[in-house]
Amino acid sequence: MDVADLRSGLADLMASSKQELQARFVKWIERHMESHEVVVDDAIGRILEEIVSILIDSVRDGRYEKVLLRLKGFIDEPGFEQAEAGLRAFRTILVNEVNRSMGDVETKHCTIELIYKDFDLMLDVISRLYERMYALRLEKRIEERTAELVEAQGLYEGLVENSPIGVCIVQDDMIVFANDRLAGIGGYAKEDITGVDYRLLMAPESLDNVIEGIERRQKGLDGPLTYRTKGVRRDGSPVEVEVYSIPTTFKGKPATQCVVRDISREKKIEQLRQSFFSNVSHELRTPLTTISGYIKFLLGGKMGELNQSQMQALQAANEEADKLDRLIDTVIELSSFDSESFRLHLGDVDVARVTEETARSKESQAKHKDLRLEVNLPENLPHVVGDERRLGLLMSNIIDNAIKFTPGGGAVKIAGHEEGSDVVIEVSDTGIGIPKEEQSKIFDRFYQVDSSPTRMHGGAGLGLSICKEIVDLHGGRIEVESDVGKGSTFRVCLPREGKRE
Amino acid sequence: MKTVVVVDDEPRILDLVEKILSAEGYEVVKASSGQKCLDYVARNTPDLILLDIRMPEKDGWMVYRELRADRRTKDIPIAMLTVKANAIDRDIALDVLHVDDYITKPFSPEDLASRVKNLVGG
Repeated sequence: MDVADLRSGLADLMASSKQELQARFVKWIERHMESHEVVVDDAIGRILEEIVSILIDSVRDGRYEKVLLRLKGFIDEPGFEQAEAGLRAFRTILVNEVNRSMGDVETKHCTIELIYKDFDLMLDVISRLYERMYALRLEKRIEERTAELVEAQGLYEGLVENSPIGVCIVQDDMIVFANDRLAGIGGYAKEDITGVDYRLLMAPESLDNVIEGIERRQKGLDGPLTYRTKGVRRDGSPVEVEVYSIPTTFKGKPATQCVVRDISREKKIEQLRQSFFSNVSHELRTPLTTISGYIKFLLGGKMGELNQSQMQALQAANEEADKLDRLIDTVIELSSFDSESFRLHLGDVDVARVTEETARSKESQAKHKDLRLEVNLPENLPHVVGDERRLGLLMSNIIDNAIKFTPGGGAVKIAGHEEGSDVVIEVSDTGIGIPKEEQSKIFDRFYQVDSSPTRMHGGAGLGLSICKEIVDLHGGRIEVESDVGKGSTFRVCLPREGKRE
Repeated sequence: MKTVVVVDDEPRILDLVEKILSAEGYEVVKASSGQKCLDYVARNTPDLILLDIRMPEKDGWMVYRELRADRRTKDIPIAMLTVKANAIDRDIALDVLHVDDYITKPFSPEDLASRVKNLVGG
């Protein structure tokens, strides 16, 4: 019996029930795989079906090359490895099947031998193909990853090198990496400072500042750190910088990464701004002193008796001059909140006394508008930790506001009480009120409920925003309750212990 | 008659202070610069000096130091008469430099008069 006969014999066997055979084999393989805890999902099942079908076909026509070609197509499929294992199992089944169904021993042996030989060849080719494929895939992945890394590195290098902010890495007090901008802050080139002890670039008097930061870090207070310090330029001139430093690793060892910003310009602008406001204040108040001084002098009758209408005219001028003075105060105060040198002058403040004194100073203003100004503060109201002058300014603005927006014949009432750990002062009026939708905005700078009250009442909309700033600085709250046409109540809550840090 | 020297580089403020204080019966000497004030006290002993701070050339604090350093002038009461600045300036002036008073511009004539009265002792 020759090989061709054997093959055809086997083919006959298969031909009788190909689909049935295929289904049986696939099921068997699947079971076998499951018992080895290989999860057979749809993809694997589909590959198995295909492989079994191909193998049955190949056994039928004896053209294994064709099988291999078709199998190549599966190499990239997910589950190929499992399929390969299935293929080995299939070989066993095929051998068993031949064993079971073929009568004569010699034919069986030959067939089985042939199957083994062919399958071995097939498996060998498959595994080599698989290896090749795997290698190719790996190569491709490495190539892709490398390209990604090169691109990312280029991107980060570009970002660091072209950054307008100085970046460096310091390790064991030595600058091991620096970008052009960092070198540029000191008037150096990158090459000049790489490998240099960073302390040589610092102003001697500011080293303490830096060392303190490093000590903090050594004490385990890791994490980002921002501080201002002074460096020395190549020409010896000082340069103010802001440093943001974070721990990092460089070549496997701990290091510090610093982002360094030249802030000399900002400092200069801040100084200019401060001197500008100081000049503005001086330039506005000097003429106002003469204007308001003469008006008051005339009103005092020191330059001759005045008739009724002269008196009224001067009174109007006097009030406006006072208003202008307060407006200058407010603008200067608001500008100081933005300044970096701003701080509160904290002390023990008797809020009740401050409020009472402030209210007393507004009495003539209220009387002039025919308003009742009622102050009803409990005698034993606790003191708070705060800035007395600014709390006075706060009360002054709130009371001014109440007087300003309350029509003649009305009343402004000031009350106070203790509430938990807060001292609460309430200023209520019978004024025009504030619509609900406006209530959240009235503490914004330059905000007024609408343009007409601005014209009618002549405010700049700064008063309440200053109140909000002052209350915030004290860690307190300012709230408003209001009904249009009925009046408003401003409530200031100040924590007795001051602001908690 | 008590003599008050007022020092300010703004002539209108000098005039204003003069009018207010003359009406109260003081003799007012106007000095338009720190140096003029120093020249005056070199020959006279006024009862009070009202001193502006922000002035060209010699500012108020320079004048103040010279007056306090000189044995003949160190006991003359001095009140700063200056444009309102921040509260720290005022605290430093009163608590650290021990000026006799710190009056801010703008001021009301009554307030100025009553402070002057306190300083010259009636």
